[in-house]
Amino acid sequence: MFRYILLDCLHSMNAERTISGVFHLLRGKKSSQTFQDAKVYGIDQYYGVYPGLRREMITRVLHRLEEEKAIERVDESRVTITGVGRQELSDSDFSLYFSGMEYSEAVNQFQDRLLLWVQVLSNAAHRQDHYFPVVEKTPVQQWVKTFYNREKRHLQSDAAALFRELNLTLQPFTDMEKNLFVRRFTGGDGTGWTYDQLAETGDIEPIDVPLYIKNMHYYLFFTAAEDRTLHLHKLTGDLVKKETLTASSKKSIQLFDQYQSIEDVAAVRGLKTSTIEDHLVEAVLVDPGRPVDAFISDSGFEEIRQVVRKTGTKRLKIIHDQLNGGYSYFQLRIVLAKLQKG
Amino acid sequence: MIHPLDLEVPLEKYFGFTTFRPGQKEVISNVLDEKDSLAILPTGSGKSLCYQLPSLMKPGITIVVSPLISLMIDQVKQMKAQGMKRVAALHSFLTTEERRFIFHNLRSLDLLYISPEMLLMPKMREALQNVKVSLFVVDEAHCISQWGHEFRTDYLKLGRILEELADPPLLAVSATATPQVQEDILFQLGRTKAQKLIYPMDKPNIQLSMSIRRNESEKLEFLKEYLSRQQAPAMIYFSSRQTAEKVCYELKEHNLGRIGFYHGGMEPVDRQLVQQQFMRNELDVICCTSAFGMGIDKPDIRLVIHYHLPPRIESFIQEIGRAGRDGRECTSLLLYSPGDDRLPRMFIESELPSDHQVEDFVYLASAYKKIPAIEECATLELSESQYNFLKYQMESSKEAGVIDPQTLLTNMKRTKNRREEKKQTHLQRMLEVLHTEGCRRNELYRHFQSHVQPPEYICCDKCDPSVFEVTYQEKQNRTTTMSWHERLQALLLPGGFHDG
Repeated sequence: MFRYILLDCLHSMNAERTISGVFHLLRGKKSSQTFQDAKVYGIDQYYGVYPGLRREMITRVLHRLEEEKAIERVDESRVTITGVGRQELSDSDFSLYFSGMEYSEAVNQFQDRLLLWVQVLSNAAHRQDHYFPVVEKTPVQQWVKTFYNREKRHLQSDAAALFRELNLTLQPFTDMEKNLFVRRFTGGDGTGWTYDQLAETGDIEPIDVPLYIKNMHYYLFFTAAEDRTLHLHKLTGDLVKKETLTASSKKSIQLFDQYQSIEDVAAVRGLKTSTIEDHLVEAVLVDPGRPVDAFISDSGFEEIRQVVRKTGTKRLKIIHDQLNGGYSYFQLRIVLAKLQKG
Repeated sequence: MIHPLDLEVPLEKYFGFTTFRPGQKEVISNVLDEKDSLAILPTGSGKSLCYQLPSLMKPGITIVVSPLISLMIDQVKQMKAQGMKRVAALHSFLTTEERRFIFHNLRSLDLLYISPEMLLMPKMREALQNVKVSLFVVDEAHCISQWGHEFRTDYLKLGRILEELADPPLLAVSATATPQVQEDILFQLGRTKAQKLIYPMDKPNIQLSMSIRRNESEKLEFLKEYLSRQQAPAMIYFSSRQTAEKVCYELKEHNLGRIGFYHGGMEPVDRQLVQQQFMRNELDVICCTSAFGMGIDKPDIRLVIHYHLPPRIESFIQEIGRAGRDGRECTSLLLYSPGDDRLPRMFIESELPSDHQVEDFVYLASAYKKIPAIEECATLELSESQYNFLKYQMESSKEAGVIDPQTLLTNMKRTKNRREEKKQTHLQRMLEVLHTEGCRRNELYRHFQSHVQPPEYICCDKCDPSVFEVTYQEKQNRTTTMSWHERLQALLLPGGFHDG
């Protein structure tokens, strides 16, 4: 699964971004560069799906892909995907439910809550009251504690409901996947398995274990969020889609809509104009329906679009040169944001 | 005054034990009588109970200064799991809100663990003026002494804090402190009249063995052969994460039992899982770094193996102290191959600044006309411990009235060299135990106590080489591999399927 995702990212980025770009994307780095890359290259679903990814893990897989001629080096930090790689991509058949840009934080929370809540229910069912929580994060513990106080009168029926619901909702997955999912839980009957231990069953690559589990949690999260009748729904309670704009960006955009001048907004906010421009690009990335005629004429938009199509690149430098510097970098970024992956 | 005989009642009520371990009762009675005390209790003897129990019995708050954040988190967790909720730990890993919450609820706490840097913050000192501190505990008290093995400059300021708090009763505790260090602890805290309660650190139920192999691969072969004869809870200490993982896989490949690894670089949930598997006897052997074991109180560990040489004799004593807490037979095995002393030597050198760094620091300080902040000396590439050393040395020289940069430099270099020698001595002592021709037991403990208790089993390999033949075979829960559906049922519906 990791191979597939990596190839998909490399394919979409078409050697225009470095390997580090993919690394940051999968780990969910909070930077506007990562954010823009994800949107512009249409791979924002993978944002933050692998927080535990380490450099050497990605390097190892790249090395393997290179040996198998699925990718080729362009230079030190960039690679391009070959025909072999493209073939592998189109032959692969994964049902992926990732929607990382908007939901990685919600799903991570949901995953931790479920892990801890199952531990609580299971220990209650086994009549054990001395145990250590497997999730140590304070917000998660706090949430489960409050939830416990609400539910403590019907833990037994909660456990039964959870058993029934997990049985049902996990149906689309293979037995191998369900085994991974269920063995990860800790309870009164035994301790869960680490990712390394789960990999030892030999069914899948170690690097894939956290991804398979994460993918199932995305599916489970969406199913639970939609169906209010489920016990699982309560675990999704306050977990919502991430606000894609920062408070600061929102403010700049609002002021721009009022004043229609980047310089004025910069002056009012005491920020650099380039920062305001970043915020306006973000606004278009998040909402491609947003009008851009305040920044670029219709004919200019069309001209830039032609160059993007002709060169097949999203690298600003190349587009800028092709147009003999006729448009500012900000104008180019605005158009790219509007075009998104198209 | 509470009669010592009555102490068993609260012990059972709060902790579920019916009897005290050696030393605990004496220390607790002393504390309840508000007598200043220094308690030297070996690892695994239940040091923390000596202040946890009184904190629940006395009005007001008990402050425990501890340098080990992971240890305080573990202890708070353990106390909460046992139903004691009025405890908290205040340290730099908390978010601002979490800190503020504790800050505003000081009055409702029985016991507060706090790191020295937090305690030294002006706001904290002020807040503590307004609560009744019924007991002030200095955990790992050897950190206050530069003759100890883990000197921490922050600890030196604790004496002043004690004065600020209107001199509450003091309890200083440590597992390893030579007589020289004991004196120094009380001197630094300004309580030279405190009563000393010293309990021997040697464990009569442990058998000591050390084996020198020709090289790394023979060491590994030896370990494999040794483990093939064992089926019991065991810990293997490594000095690096990579080796812990590598050897773990190697041992597993040879089917040497249920083995896992543990180190600080793992994902947090995975770390919890391994720890709990070991506690619940779902794993027999843990390949770990020294990050594992703090706050772990597993009674039935039969073997503690050192694959690498610990940098100091105190760490070694502390780590083998995790074996056989149930009082039954247990064994320590240390493996050594030539060159193993290189890593701890490098480690020691990196803890103190080089001559060059001392010079640059003094130069920077006179250029800035103040002690530079750690960010301001980025070019010196100082580690945190190096910076702390320089900062503290400069502060105290200035307080002593030394201003001339040249004198300052000479003084600081001299202190540094003395400290380095001292640290090398700790390693040297470890090597002496390894290379001794005589009894290892005597050699190991001679710096701490005048004589050792008679061993209950084999003493050491020098006294009786048959210690290498030791074998532990304990019953093992069979781990069955269930299908996902069966596991889900075992997890949530252990009483059978009753659909609600």
